[in-house]
Amino acid sequence: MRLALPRSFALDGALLEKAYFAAQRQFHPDRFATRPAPERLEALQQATAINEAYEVLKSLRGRAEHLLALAGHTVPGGNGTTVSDPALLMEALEWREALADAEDAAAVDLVRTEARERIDGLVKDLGSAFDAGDHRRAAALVLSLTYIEKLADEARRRAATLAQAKRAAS
Amino acid sequence: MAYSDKVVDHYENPRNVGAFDKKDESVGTGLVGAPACGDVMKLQIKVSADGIIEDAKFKTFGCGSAIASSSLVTEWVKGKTLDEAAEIKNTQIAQHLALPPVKIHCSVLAEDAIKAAIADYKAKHTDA
Repeated sequence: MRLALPRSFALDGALLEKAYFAAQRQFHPDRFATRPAPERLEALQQATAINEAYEVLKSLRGRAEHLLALAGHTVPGGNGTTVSDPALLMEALEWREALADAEDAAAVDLVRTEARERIDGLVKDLGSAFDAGDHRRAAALVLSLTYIEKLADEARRRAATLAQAKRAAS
Repeated sequence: MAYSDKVVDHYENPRNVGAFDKKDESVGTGLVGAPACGDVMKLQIKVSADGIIEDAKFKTFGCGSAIASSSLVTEWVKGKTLDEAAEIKNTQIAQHLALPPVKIHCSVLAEDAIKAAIADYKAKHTDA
């Protein structure tokens, strides 16, 4: 509860920013410059903790994983372990193959659009899973989100490479 | 990060990339993933009637170490029996490719993939 925010997946981004900046102001090193050393150290530790909390909550996946951890659940495949969920992996493989086969910017854009839509859908489902207290389902959704975010990353990189090649050619 | 020469070699010239028909009775398919990095690895074996792995193929979407690990495993398993192939340990893969500690999970993925392929083949050939 470093940022005193409600424990919810559907976190309002503006609310998070507000809470973050308020907390940062409260523990800003400048305000403690003339205070005794132990207090300065304490404020610095608080500021660091607040930064960490903000980074975790800002990312959808980080927020979901944190909520799961608070509920005593872990996402499968953490700590470098492997997973063998055939449906999920088959889908991941098909997505990556589709991206590998996409030869021009339009085809890559199509993959990116589909990935974004899929991410939006997963985020919505995650919200309902958390609302319903269904942590098992939420953990499975986070796993899917990990793979689809990876695909979106790869697609973005691919689009950038294609754009660069196009500029170089013209 | 600097990859070892062996990783680069397998990455640039991957052996046995491709796929078999997974419905084929003589084919075992292993599909595993390392979610931490969003990697997915498919490894298939083609097994002869006397239980020898005749051929192996893989398709991996992941980093260079994951591709090299699966490429190496497909080379290693050819000519082995299923039991011999199941003996392959990730530590052997990691050692052969000189994988750095942060990439050990790539070799784990390859070990799990060959084990999954063997299990899939055996499941196909067990009479219920």
